[in-house]
Amino acid sequence: MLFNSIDFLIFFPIVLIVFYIVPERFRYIWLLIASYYFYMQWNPAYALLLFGATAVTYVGALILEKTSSVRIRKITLVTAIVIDLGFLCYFKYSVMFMGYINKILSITAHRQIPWDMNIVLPVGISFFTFQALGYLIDVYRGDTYAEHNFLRYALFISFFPQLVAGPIERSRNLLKQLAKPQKFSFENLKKGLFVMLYGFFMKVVIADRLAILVDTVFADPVTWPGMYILVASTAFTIQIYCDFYGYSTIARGTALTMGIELMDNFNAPYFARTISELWRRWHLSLSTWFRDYLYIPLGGNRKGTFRKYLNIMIVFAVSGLWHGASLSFVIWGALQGVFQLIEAGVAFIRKKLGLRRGDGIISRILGAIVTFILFDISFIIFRSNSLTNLRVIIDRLFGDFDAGVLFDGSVLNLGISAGYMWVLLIALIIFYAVDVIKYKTGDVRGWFFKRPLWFKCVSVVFLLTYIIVFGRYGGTYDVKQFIYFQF
Amino acid sequence: MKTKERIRGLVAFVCSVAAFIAIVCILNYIYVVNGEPWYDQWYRNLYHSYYEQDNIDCLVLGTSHVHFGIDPQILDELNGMNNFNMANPGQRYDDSYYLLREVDSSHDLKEVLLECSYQCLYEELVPNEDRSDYKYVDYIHDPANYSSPWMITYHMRPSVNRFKMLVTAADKEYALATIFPFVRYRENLFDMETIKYNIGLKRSPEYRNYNYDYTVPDSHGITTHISYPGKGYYYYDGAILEDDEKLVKQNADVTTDPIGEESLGYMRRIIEYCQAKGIKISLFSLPVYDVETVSCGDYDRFIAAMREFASEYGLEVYDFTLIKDETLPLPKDEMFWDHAHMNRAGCEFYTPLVWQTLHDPGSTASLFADSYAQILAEREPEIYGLWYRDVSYDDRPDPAGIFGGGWREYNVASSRPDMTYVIRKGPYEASGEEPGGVSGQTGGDLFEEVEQIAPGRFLLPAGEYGLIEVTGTCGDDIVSMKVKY
Repeated sequence: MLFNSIDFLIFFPIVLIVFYIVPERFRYIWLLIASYYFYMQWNPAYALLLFGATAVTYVGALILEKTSSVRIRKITLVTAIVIDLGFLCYFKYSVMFMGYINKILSITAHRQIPWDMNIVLPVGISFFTFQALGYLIDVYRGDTYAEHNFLRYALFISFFPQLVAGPIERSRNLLKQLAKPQKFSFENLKKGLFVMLYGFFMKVVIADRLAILVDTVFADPVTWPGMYILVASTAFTIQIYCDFYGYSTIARGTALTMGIELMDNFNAPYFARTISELWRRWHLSLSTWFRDYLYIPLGGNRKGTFRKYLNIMIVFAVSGLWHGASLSFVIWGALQGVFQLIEAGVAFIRKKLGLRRGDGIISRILGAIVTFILFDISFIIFRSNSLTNLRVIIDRLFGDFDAGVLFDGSVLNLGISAGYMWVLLIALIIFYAVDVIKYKTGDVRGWFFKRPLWFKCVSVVFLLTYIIVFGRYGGTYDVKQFIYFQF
Repeated sequence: MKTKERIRGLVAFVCSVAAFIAIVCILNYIYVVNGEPWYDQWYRNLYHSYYEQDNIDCLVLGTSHVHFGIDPQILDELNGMNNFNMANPGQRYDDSYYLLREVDSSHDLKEVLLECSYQCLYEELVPNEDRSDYKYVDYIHDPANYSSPWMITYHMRPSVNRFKMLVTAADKEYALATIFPFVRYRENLFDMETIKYNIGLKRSPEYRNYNYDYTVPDSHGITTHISYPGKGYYYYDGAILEDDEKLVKQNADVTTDPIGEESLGYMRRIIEYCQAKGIKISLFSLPVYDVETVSCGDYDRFIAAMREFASEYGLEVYDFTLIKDETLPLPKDEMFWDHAHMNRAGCEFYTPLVWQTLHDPGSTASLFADSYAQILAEREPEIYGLWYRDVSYDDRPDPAGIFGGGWREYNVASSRPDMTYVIRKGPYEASGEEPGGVSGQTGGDLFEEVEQIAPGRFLLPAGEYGLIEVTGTCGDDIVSMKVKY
């Protein structure tokens, strides 16, 4: 069930109304039922997998709490991690790894290991596995308590707004909120609905419209000159942000209507002046997960400069692998690490030369542009999906580059009419204006709800109209899945 | 203070809702015109005149075949009642059901004439989810047929039945198009010509006064006249169908297509509703031109299925396709303005005949043949035209994907199954005449023979157009026809 589907627009009000009708102490049970129903809309059988990941970490956490034996605690932790990661590896990575192994075997031993190469990736597995593991490690470290109520814990893992594409929540935030009965709040309802509306705006007006252009070019990159590929990759960089941020925003809004505050996943990343700053603003729930559960255990920056950057490379390579079972994703992730190494090198040289980094508006804008371009380049690898495609795209990018197509109307051949180009332009201006506010204030929601009443009313009517008139939805359109669902 | 804030909030909410509704109304005004202006106004005028009626005694329900084929004013003279024709183009049986209930809720209905339409009863082939092939869906669930309830409800006044019709109008993916009518026309969002045209049309005195009187030149330059005399009937004095336009898309294959259970279910509900309410109900089918009837496959099979269905309720079905040729006052093709819709001459002949047959079947029994096959067999060898359907063949390269202009299978419709054909194709201009006539020479070398995959059946790319020349031989008889494709 997609957020931008009519099923969700029926499902959500029903869940919300019943949520506030049932007694407070039973609300989490209702949410659990709704969450499993939501998940089973993709593949009912995979609900067992969700249940399995939940049960393993639930039992593991209880054992960790009960025992003080270091050995048993370690064995318990490792066993639970291995089982949960085992699920993830089997469903997500086994096809890739067996493909490589069989390639090697067929060359060296002229044989192959039989393997089902058509395993369907359970939606959201990377998200709920990481959420469960984060909880388990927190319990192991004593940073959080072990939840004794299995149903409440099951809801923590399966809470439908963030189940399939995050944010990857922490027990310290979400589990505690689920433990408290949620009271009806008109403020939360109002704010939640508005936040959802803005999420839909990002998804169906911007991301899905840009998807037409991006899909047209990347479906057959060999037929498009380099400039088109550059335009498409830039469009993809914006598309993926609006798509993922849109999803996260709808998720936050949905949860807020029920009085639950999810973490913010983005903080104006495209205004970052460096790649390392960008990663402190992009997919925050994943970035902080890797920081807390991989980077710091690896030693973080405590073991010298070399280890620090080695750790960064490891973290980003693993992050790339988390995004997809393909070498191109690993390269994409590693590239993020390489960019940060280069940034560190430049900072070192600048320091040696006694040059200070400018802090004016021009310097900030230039920094943001360079960072965006670097991120954009990395997304060419990300979007290409395979190394073969990547080679083709790079060949086209540098082989046939005519900047004139930007000005002679040729871009309109990419599936977006002149009228919709204007629609996109206006939407992007609004979107970036909102991001500027977020960049400056850090709390765009708080900023918005302090505006005069007329401003809020006009904004709601404008967004609603804009979505209905210009959004991509309905039976005649190919409803795009959220990009991050595939991870 | 808190109360004041709440009042402000409430006022702001009401103003926002009002602003949104105003925007939707403006967008509807700008965009909602369904295709040609006369088509949109069929619905508009029909429902305008419906709400002006005194008590309606007899209601006619069906598709556009009935819309042009039954004149309630002729019925008024025959039965002394107030008759109303509430048949709309492509009208689905669920729409007919809700319209019946709507009319019955505010009128003392005594009689219902319900068309048994093969067009709206058989399941249709639509692209499957991944658009790799076709699948069968009930006529009600083919997105191409959502426009019927959308247009009807757009012109109806608010009511429970209108709401129910809207709820069942379209599958849930089309919910926003159902709720907000302008969404159905979003392909025209930036089409300034269409916007100007729509606004101009809606501001015209004719439109505002529900005057409906169009003069439409057909492709042969013959002027035809279409008007709305009231009570749901549309008058079309119509051009006589020219040979070169005798090309139709197959609506249904009654030999192989399954009958839609949901559509049939609504037919049942209509009959059961009438019988429960003591409203007399009669079932009938009007004829279409033979190229369309032949395209349906074994038409007698449809008649048999309908008779069997009607017998479950103790009813008869009268199919006027079976009227013998010698009964007709004119050659059949002169009673239609296209392959499926009657002109005024057809309506004036069939309306009294339908009423008389439904109320005194014995008096007209001798006018009916036993079967459509018998009618064809008794005719001279004749070619009626061509019919086609879009197909996908695995063993043939698909020129542009099956839904982007793939193969189109053409079939010759004739009165003889044993006729053999020579089929040639060429550019339209190769007829040796300017567009507007095709009776001249074929242009010799510009025409080439087309390979037949079965007698009278051949494939051409869907995007291709031109002229097809069919020469049929049946014994010593040779007949021919040229059809634009």
